[in-house]
Amino acid sequence: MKRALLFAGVLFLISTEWIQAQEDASRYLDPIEKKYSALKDYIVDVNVHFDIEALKAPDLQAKLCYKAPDRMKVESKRIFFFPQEGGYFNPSLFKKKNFDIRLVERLIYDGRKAVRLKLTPMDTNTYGKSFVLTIDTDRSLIREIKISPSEGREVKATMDYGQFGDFELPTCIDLQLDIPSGEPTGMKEFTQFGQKTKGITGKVEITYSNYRINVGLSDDIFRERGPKKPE
Amino acid sequence: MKLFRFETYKIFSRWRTYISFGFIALIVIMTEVVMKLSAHEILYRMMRSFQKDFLIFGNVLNGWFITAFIMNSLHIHIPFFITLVAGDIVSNEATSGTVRLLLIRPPSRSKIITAKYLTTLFYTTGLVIFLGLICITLGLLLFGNGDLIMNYQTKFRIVFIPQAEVPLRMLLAFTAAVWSMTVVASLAFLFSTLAENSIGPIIGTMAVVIVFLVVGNFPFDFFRMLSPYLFTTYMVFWQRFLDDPIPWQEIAKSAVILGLHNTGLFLIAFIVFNRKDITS
Amino acid sequence: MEAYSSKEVVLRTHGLSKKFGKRWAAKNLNLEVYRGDVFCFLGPNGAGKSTTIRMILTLLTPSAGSIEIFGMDLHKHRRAVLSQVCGIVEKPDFYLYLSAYKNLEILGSMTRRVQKDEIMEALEVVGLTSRAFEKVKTFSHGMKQRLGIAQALLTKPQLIILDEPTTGLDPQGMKEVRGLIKKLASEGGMTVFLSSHLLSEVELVATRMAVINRGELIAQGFVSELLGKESMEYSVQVSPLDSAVELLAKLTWVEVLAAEDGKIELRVEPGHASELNRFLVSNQIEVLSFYPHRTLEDFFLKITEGTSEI
Repeated sequence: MKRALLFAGVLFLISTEWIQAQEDASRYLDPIEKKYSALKDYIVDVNVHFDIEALKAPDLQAKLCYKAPDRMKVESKRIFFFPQEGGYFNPSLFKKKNFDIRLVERLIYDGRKAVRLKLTPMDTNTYGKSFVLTIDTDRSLIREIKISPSEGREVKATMDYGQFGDFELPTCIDLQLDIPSGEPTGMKEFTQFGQKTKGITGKVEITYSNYRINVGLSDDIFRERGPKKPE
Repeated sequence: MKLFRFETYKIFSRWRTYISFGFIALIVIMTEVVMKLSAHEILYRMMRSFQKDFLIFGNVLNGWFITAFIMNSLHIHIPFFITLVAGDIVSNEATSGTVRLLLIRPPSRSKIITAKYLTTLFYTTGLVIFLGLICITLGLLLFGNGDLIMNYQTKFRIVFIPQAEVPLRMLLAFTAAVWSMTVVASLAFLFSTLAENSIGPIIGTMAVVIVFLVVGNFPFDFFRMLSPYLFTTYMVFWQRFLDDPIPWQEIAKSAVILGLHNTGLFLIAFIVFNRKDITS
Repeated sequence: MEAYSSKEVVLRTHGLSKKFGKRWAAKNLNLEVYRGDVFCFLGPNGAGKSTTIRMILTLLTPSAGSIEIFGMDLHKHRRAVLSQVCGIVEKPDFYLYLSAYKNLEILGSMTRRVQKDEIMEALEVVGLTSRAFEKVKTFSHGMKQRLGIAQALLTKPQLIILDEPTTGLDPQGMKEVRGLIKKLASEGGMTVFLSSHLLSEVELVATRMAVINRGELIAQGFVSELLGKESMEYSVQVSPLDSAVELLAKLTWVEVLAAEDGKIELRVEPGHASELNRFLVSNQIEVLSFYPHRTLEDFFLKITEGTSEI
């Protein structure tokens, strides 16, 4: 009897601890959400530097427009490549309700207290990727995002911030890419882009300057970002 | 110079010479118009894999891109048009009987064959430059200017060439393309010297080019071993001018090898022509 | 004839030979052509005439022997020699897609600079002025032959070499070409070297001749010497026939071989051919036509069988 009670008690403690841990994990996103709740939109000048074997390009410049919750557009007079994942700051991306959040570890990051959270999407149709966030809990800043969208792809973004008006926004995002190449089907007839089974590995450094925040961007300016799919 | 002028006049007095230019113009116009109409589809299909990892903005499908795209098929259709003239320039004299009037003139056979060869090279240069001019002019008109995105067939690799650099690189690329095509012209010229009709040289040259291209691209060890000895392997060296960084050593090597081919082929034609008994 | 010893030798071959495989197309030919000659190179088809001409015009490389033209070795001084020589080998072929004028301009300019009026003058000589700017592909065979002669004349050569120049022409065309050849030699001061398989042609135009058979030189010399010793056969159309036969029977230098349908076949001793015509006309016999008969075969057979002293 005593043993049964003791066992039940231990089980209860573990479960409460577990429940408390889950509640703690999602709690770390609250200050970030609150911090950027007033951020409606911004325009920023972007400089992208590529250090990728598979992509030889000079530094590219463009103007990036963001509107909460998820609108993004790039304006460039010239051809401009921009990483799909982790290339721009979108504080609305990590809504608690959309993810199953677990605390992975507590750590010291760059001399400050930090936590590492794993975010697994609730609905894989909407968000086909999982994230591992490293959050500076002192400043309520996301310092690292590790994105694992699918098919063995992995992108790690490391972010540095500066103060722009009322907001701390990224001044630099370093992306580490480790991406297998795309499928070759449907492209053989265009020899200019014939594909071999090699990956994209390397680094992309994106620097941000000249933020213009909450300028009141209209929805109209956010058109298709890339080439349209054929109908 | 006089002989060269006469040979050039003779070539450009024949309507078949203009077939080549006409067809090139037709191919370019059709390709560019179709690409203009299907721009989105083409871009989507070409960029689909790359778009998984990168967002792409700007005028990718610009005149330079179209030019490079069409140039990639250079080694397929241009050799045929070259052989129409190069394969005929010597053998036609035998077919038509004019060789008997030509070779009894004071100029030596050496000078005559050299003039014909220079004319062949001149025609080849003109054809490739015409291709370039029409591609670029029409391309820029229809698709506009911009940076050039190049991919390399042997690697999954994108090269971005800034707009300011593109014209010079294209000039170098076309110069290299001319040089590549002169080997086809030299081969056709040699066959023309050996034959007494034009069909043999034309078919023979195309057969050699096609077989070499096919053999050189077979993904088997044995054919890979043969590949360095086939001139077609070096014919695409013009693409290297659209790489970053430009591999000057590789370009020089390809140019020298093609130059040696030209020299060898012309020398054989030269010797054969000088020693040939004219019995027709 | 003795005056010839002081005349310049324009063309001389020493042991000229050409072998194709195992067959000798020309063997050990020693020819001499003097300035002002109309030299006929006579032989049946396949005798080696064209081969010899092609060697002289550098279309073929001799297997042995040498060629001198104007005292210069042909192969050592090719350019200098050929700038004074012109020729037509077999039928003259031109660039069909070019006009007559342009053909002459291109071909002529390969020897020396030719002016427009020189080209037009050459076309006028051969009667092609009105067709000067039409493409050669519209020309008949005879017109091309005349254009060939025009291109030969254009650069005013010292030696003209013609390979069977009347082949394919109608009688009128043949007559025109023969007349032109004689004129070139007599008035133009040119030396003409032509080949033929027609004995009649030789008799009508040539001053000197060489006979070749199976690649070998059979005879060489003056036409009158080589042919004059032989009796000639003629076919003469006369009216009235009976009177003519009766008259001819009385002549010692004529033998009547046959007479029917207004035509008499005769054999005439050397040197009396022109006398025969005068005799008939002076005796009120109408001479409607007068054709010489001699087959090359007969002539060759006689030469090779040694029945005639050469």
